[in-house]
Amino acid sequence: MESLVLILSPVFQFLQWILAQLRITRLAQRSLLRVLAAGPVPQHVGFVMDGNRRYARGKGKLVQEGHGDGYLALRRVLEICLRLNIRCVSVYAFAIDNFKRPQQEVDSLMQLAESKLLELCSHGDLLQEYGVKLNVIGRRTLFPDSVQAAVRKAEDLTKGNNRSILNVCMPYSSRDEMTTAVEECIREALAKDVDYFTADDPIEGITEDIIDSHLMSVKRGSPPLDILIRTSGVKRLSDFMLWQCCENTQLHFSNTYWPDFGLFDFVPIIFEWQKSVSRLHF
Amino acid sequence: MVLAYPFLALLHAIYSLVILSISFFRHLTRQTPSPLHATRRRLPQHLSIIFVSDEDFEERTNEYCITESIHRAISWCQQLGIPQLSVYDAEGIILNNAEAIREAVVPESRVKDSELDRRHIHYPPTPPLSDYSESEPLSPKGVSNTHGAFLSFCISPIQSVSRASKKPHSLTLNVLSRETSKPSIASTARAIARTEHRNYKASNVRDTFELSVNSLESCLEGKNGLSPPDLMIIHPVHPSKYHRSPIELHGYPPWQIRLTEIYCNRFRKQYEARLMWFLPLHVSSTLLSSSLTEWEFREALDQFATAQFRLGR
Repeated sequence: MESLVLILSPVFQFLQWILAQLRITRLAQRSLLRVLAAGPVPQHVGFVMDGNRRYARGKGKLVQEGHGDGYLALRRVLEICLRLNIRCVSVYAFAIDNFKRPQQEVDSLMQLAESKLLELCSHGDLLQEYGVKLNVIGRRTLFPDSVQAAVRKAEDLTKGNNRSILNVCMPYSSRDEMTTAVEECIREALAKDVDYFTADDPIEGITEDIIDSHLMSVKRGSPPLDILIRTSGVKRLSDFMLWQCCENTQLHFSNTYWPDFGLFDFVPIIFEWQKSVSRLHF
Repeated sequence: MVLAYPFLALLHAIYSLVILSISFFRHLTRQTPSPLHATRRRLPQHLSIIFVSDEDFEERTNEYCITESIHRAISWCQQLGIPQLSVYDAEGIILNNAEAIREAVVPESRVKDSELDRRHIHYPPTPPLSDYSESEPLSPKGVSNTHGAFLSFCISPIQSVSRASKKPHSLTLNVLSRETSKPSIASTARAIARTEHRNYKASNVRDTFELSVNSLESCLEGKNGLSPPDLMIIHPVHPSKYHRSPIELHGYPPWQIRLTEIYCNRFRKQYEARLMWFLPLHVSSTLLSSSLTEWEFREALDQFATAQFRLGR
């Protein structure tokens, strides 16, 4: 049995090489996405990119390499989403709690963020090609200065784009986002005075919808979250977009580690979405 | 583009077949969860159940299934010593039946002679409790409870049920509704704004208002708030219809679900509804509706026991 595998594996590799040369897989992928985009497509998809470290451990790689492969997966998935005409993609790149990780890993993640953000936004790259505006959402002041500068520069490079939105959430926590929204609502209400003629109390004006409109992601133009995908088999939300996903959002918990996440993990999720929104019941 | 649509329909058909065979295979190879009383590595301290009612069913069927499930869950929690149980549904069915549920778990005859009636109502229509009126003396419109917006009963242990080796625990049952969710965060924000407004008036000093995550947390989860659940079970009353589309949280309070392990049994009765389309609705609804089963409950506990919590590290 093992000898058979040994003989066959170069054959497969050769076949794969030929397919890569002919770009047939690429062509097939693109036509599949074309077909999918003919049906209803979600407006806003969120990803919790979990499992980089477990992926690296499983492959005997360094943790940093795992994160690097995670970035490649992000590019791959982002391109799929953009080809499907999904208007907004949010990814959970770094949690406020992640600062508790070993210093070495945090440093390498900071370097990765700094270099890759600029790479993504540079001229001729993915975001410019598809007209995507980048938003970095979260408590940025926690970042080192060099990363903050890179974030500003990257956002400036794409601020004119208006076809799609990419929200990179870092250093983010949903509770922080909700607290900031509530804080801003209260500040605005306190700044106004009670109108004694109409008895309009600005404090009474703090409602669910007002808080919603003050959320960082919503302020930057994100439509309501339709689908939330968490990878690597964990069935928790881990402080990502809790307010946005607790109502009318489909949750998917995928067993794949994020660096392995690809077209064949994502297409079934789109199928499920199309099945649930269309009246046709495929 | 015209060609794309039939292709899409074909892909969906293939996909449905694949899913059907996978779910059939999983159904054959599923593992039996550990028994209810098995020793598990970890037990939830606060269990939450989301009930999803179905508009195809009559109101009575929905009510019956949900109430029956709650009674079962109360009994399992008491047997295992889980101290807190929250039940939620978006339509307010549980809230409307809360009195009936309370009467069933706290029998009227025993209320009189014991301390069973230690129930607290955290719900706006009730008159303000004394500690609220202290904290809000200047409240202009008499908004009493700004934090809770949910009902909570304390159920004393049943001696015969709890095992002799374990100390009997009392169980707190929280009845949540859509009001406990985002509206409760908004009303907490209003309460904080009012307190702040009074402070401005009193001291006449205006600095920029600041709010930290911890202080908002203590308002939402503190003394009169709702504590975060460790484990959440999503239970649809009409599973074969619900499991055709992905799970949702149906407006459960968002602040509290940060670290909650979410469980939903996706393979229950998935295809029955399609086989029973010819039956009249009242017949099929009795066949298709489902209360929470012990199997699900045990499976949820097993999932929680094997979950890893890394807390960002």
